[in-house]
Amino acid sequence: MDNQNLAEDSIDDQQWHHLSPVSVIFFIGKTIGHFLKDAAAGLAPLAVIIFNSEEKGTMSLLLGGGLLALLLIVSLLQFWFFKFKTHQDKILINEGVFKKQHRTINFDRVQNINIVEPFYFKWFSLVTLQVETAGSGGNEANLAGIPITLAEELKALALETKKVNVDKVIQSDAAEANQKSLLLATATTSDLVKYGLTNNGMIWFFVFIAPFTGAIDDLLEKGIGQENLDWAINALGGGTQGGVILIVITIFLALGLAILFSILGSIFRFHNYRLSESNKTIKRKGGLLSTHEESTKRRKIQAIQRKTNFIGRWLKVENMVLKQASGQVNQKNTSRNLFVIPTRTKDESAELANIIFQEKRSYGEEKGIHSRYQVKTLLVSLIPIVILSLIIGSQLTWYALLMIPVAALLFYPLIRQRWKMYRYKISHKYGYFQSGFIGFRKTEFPLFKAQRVTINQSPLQRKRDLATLVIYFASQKITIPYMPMKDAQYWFNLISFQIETTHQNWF
Amino acid sequence: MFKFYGKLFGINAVGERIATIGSLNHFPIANNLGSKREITMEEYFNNRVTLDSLPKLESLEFQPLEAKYAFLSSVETLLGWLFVLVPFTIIKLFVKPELLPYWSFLIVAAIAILSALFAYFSAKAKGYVLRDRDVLYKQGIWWQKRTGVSFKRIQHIDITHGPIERKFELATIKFFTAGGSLADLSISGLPKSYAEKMRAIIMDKVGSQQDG
Repeated sequence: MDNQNLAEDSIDDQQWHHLSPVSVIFFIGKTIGHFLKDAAAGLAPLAVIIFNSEEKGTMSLLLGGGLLALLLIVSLLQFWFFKFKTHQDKILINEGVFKKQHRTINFDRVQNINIVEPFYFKWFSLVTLQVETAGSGGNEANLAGIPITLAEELKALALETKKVNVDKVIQSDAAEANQKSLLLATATTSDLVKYGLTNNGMIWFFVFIAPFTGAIDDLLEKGIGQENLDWAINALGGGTQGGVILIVITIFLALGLAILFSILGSIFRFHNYRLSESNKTIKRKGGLLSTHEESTKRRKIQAIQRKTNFIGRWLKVENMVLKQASGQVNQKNTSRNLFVIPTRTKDESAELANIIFQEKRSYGEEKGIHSRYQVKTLLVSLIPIVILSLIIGSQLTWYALLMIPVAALLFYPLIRQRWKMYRYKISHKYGYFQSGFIGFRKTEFPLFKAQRVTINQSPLQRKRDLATLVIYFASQKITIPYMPMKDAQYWFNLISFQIETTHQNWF
Repeated sequence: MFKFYGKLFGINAVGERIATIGSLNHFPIANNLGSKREITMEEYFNNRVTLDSLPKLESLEFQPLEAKYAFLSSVETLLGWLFVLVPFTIIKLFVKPELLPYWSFLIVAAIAILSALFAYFSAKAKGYVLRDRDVLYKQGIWWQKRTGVSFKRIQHIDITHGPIERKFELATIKFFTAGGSLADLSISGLPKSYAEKMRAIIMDKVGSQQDG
């Protein structure tokens, strides 16, 4: 009933609206979240009460029931006091049970407006409208539990208002624009599985270094307990052999689990993935239980990154990330703002980059960084080893100094590999930078979007006329180490020139 | 008035041309198109800026900061070390005299003097160039760093002055751009009145350039 009322209401209304009663679920979730974050420590006294009471069962039931009732009441009150209305070009929100909060969100301040469909709203045709504004984290709003039609109307209104401020023309052609939308990319389940395998380098890294750190040993002992551990080792043949087999099995189990979670995460996040463009806006939609829809203006994209790990290189696929400006204060949103396009081939991503940048980039010669980088990195990485061997040497035996050449021999191939992966090139308008180890990370960016540029030079670099160039964007920074000073100066001058002569806004 | 800014900037070192902006007719600013001539309106609007005509970063002459700023930096550093000396003295006099022999004070004093000297010379190594479209800043004795921020990218400008800076009538100007959570470029050791004028002029340019 309430839903219908909401849907029938016109947007620009003088009346305050409640959210749908179903949104109590949202508030319950929110309250639990707050509770876990801020008040979980407060549960300790309750645990003590339960522990000390004679009838533990009854007492836990009583306290548990009390907590549940409190949770429900708080959520109901939050729902009841949450009211919103739209007025001309802004959304007004009143909320708070004891601490009243009145918020005004001007549409022209809106950075991002997303429609999310959590699974608990699916049966009621309700959605959550997430509104993010530039600047502080407190300035965002979630309208959880409003009819999808209203959400879309509000979204169109917000996007239109922004446009109107630029064009001074009032029009509402959201529906028309939708029809003209161009499908840029989709992803099959097999693509998503590949994304799960290729998007996370760290999982693999931990699996490889775990045996060296002894972390697995500790984990096994703590997690399973010494007795069970002994039993397992004996069952696997006993002694050192049993222990080694157990560790290997554990590593593979951990690896399998990590991969499984990564793949599942990918499917949950991107199921039915669709990337489309309409009206200069890039839109991505997808998700298994909750459908997420995110959109950004094409001109807001600061850089395009293509990256993959060693499996991706073997499968010949890479993942693309469209880098957007991140809020200054609201850093926690950075991950949510990630605009990922999973599993593209090299050609597909090149084509997509052409569409997003709206032009082809003709770069000059691709260069690697200077070989001195290896010397410096090797010296820096040996510092802890040198200190360690000196300590051991002074206490036990000076043979410990042998650790230094051994470590140098071990590190050098890795450093050389990393050095080889650094590549950069520049066109008149764009810059390209690649780094990586076995996988890679390739970033392309319009030069004029740079916010500021720094050239750093250490005494060692000065001797060889080398420099480290750092380009700061609103989305990230690009650090190109050990490039010739004249290249760094050329980049610096060209970026200044592009900023001055490009009459296009960077956001 | 003119003499004051002229001395401050060293007009000849920066560029012979004097940009005419707002009410400050004689404010010396290096021209982005080279110091020998000014760009005309026609050139600017016809976008005839070419990469070759821009002065190169490598050929720029940076303006040193106010001389008294170097002195202020060393004073501030010495004051910082004074805070270390206070607990040292308390321990020596009242708590455990045998813990700290007198030479340990000499070591602290030596380190304090060395760091004050370092602060002095790093302040001397700092410099900036204000051009008509961007501001450049260099710092560092051994590890050198040069930063450039275009006026078009400036979000806002802050001027701060600590108690010691106030005593010396100096101020710090901070330029903020998008995406960075810290001050993106901050130039200390400017006369307070000058920092404020610098802000006014740059804000004026920020407005006109961002509209364009």
